Amino acid sequence: MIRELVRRLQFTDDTTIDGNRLDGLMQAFVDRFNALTPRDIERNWTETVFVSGYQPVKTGGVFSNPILPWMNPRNPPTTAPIYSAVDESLFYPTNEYRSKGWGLPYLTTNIGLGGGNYYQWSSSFHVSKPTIITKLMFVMRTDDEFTNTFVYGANPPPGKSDGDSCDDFTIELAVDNPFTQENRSQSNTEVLRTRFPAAAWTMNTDIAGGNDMQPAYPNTDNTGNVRGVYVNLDVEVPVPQNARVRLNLVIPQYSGETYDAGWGGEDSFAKQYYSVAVSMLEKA
Amino acid sequence: MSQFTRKKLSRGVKLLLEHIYTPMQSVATALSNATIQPVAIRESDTSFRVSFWVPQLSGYHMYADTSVAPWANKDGYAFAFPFAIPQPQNLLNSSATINDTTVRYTLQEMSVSFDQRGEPAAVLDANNIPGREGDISHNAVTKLDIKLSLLEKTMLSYNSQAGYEPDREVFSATLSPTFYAGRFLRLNPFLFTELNKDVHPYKSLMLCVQADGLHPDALPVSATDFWLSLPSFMCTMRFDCERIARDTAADDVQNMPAHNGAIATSPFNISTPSANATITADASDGVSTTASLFDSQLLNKLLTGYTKQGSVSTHEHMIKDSGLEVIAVPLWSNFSERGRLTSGTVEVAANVGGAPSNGPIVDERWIPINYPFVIHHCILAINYGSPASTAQGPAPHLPTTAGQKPTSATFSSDVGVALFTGQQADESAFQQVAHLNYTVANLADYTIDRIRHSSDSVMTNFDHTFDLVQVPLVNNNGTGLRRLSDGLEIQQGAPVFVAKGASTLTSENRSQVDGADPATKGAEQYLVVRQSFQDPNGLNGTGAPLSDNEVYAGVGGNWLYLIGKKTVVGGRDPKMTAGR
Repeated sequence: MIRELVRRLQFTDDTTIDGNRLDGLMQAFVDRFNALTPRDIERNWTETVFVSGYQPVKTGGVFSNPILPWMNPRNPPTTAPIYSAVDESLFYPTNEYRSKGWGLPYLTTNIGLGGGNYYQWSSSFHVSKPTIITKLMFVMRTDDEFTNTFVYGANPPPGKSDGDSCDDFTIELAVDNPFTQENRSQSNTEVLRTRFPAAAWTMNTDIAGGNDMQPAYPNTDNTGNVRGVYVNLDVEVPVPQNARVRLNLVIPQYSGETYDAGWGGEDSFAKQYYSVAVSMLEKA
Repeated sequence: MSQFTRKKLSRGVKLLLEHIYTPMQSVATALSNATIQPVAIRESDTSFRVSFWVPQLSGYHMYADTSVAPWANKDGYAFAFPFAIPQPQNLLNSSATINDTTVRYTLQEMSVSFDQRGEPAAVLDANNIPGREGDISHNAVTKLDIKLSLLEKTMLSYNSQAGYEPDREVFSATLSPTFYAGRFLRLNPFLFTELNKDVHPYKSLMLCVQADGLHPDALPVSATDFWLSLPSFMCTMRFDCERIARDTAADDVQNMPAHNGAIATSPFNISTPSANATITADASDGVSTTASLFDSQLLNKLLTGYTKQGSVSTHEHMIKDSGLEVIAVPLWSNFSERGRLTSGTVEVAANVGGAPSNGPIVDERWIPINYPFVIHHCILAINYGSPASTAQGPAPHLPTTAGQKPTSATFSSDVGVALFTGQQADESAFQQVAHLNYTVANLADYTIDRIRHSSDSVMTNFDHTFDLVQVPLVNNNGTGLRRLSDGLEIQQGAPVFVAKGASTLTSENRSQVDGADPATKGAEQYLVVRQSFQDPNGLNGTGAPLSDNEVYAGVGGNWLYLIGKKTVVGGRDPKMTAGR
């Protein structure tokens, strides 16, 4: 019998035996159980959760909304790309497209640097050890003040109908290419969810007896107080050691109401408020 | 110190049972009784992270429209994130004495990142030339000089004479602009590793970020001198933590599954020859046969920890499977172009109503529940940091006095944490986990520490910038109340178990929460965190907006920390035989 895990020694009848071999076996045995390795333990990981989010303010008030962290997902090479004439770079743009998979067929991506038809919130973090991304969550919460219905209106984009659920926002999880870390076109897209109907991720608001938590949510129209879109993706993305992980969230902007949708004609980032979370397993 | 030992087989001595079978039996007993200690596991420490992930760190938010003279006091400004990691309830020493049971943790990594639009450039903030927020400047990247420091402070709850300023620097570093200026390589995100910085387990901590290059060198801004921002800034710190035992029936955990955290065992039997019998190789009690049993056990893996649904395995092998967990939840962050929720800016908050802005206004975060977690403490960091402004920039201007605490006797804030079930489900419900209603009068009763980042701070017009406040867990009719320390009369309920379970039908045998069966019936999907502000006499201070600077959530926002225990992600679901 070969001891695969305890020690590669043969102890069977009719084989030679001596004290040194037995002593070596027992030393290997106690050493083995005094220093159990990760492969000996079923799933020896711990979970961690990154949480972010914020609530924009009412539009049209004394104080306006910051646009940041939402920015154009594209760095266009020709249209007034950089802040001023004195601030030029021979290298611009190093990444014309900052992420992948967000373009809509009916909404041009050929847009300026500051404004445009899309907004992207891009975040990143660095992991030193192998990890597993297990969950991505992107909540766009609405209420009486944050009014995105996530439904196309009377002037819908081509192929859509009035009342169709919006399917125009994107979630991408990417890992930088280890050899060309600054080249986003070489990033490895690990998760891409795009063109999916928002209605697939609405919350059941049938709360028995109007049950709410404390503090209660202001709910003036009695249509339920957990409205919005709650995208909650179970994923299993192994991430290698020393990897740079990027989460890219992209929403549309139908500037000037090109098309009619719940995002409105301006400041689409302010039509809902946000909770974002990434769950990750790390070696214990 | 090893858990398993053996007697050496010296040359010439008779081969006895104790040479072979005594150590084997001791291992077999540990496997049978699930008493394998952490010391027997290589790299046994667990890890947890404290992550601050905000929409942006904005120069315009921090430095307002003030003049160069105050900016010259660089140390007066800092984005700061104070927090505390109290020991789990069953390990909390009321006098903050460190002993054998104290959970120690060590800072190992710090990762810092922000969005540069994929270019070697800095991102422009609001209040430059209109319409250019989010544009980039390659020249301005040279101003991205970011100083980080993790500071430690004695908590007032353990020493009322401790003062408000940090008393030790755990770690500090400066991120040079050259990190961000390379065409082919930018250190963003940047990772500090193998820090090995020991942290005092009973002190408050505060991460400070100073980036005084985010303001222009002079006002007004010009085509070469900007307000800058660090969009989607994230700093995540990974701590190592020694293993601790998970909560059991003795800990009175609320919402606990029927297994009560008990560790099930399964006998691992070996045959031992009788005394003075000949020791053989291949017999049923032979050396080879017995050793092969241990081989098989290791091939089948050792089990520990809860399953994803919060269940236990049919049997386990480790006596300790848990570590600490901290979830940092931002509230009222990035509020308005001025980055702060004050009596001056509150009128643009959603749901605030007309003047005098009574509210309630509510910010809310959702956190998905993926793996089990036991909440032991909820700590709220109230941020009063709101540096003064002047009338140099475009209107509307902020007050010329730095932030102060709310003063209205009718002002109140509610902070709540709840479980929620209801997504893609037949029914939905909230189950309250923690709640605090604080007012001007009672806030001190729940305050465990007060902090400001330095004696030079200009963030407020009084002697501290943050209150760290305990948000008590709900309790089962007054039973199992635990205090954070002897010095404070803050009482709270027992820990609350959180796991998504399988369904409301199969997980209804959870223990009571807040004196009743849990409304989520053991199928919680989300943790929901809310903070509201209200004042029947108006949140806009004296009724004249901008006349004062009463702060509800300063620059960087408030933070709610969920602190507790998590087991390693382990176990084996009995139904799961492949692809686990």
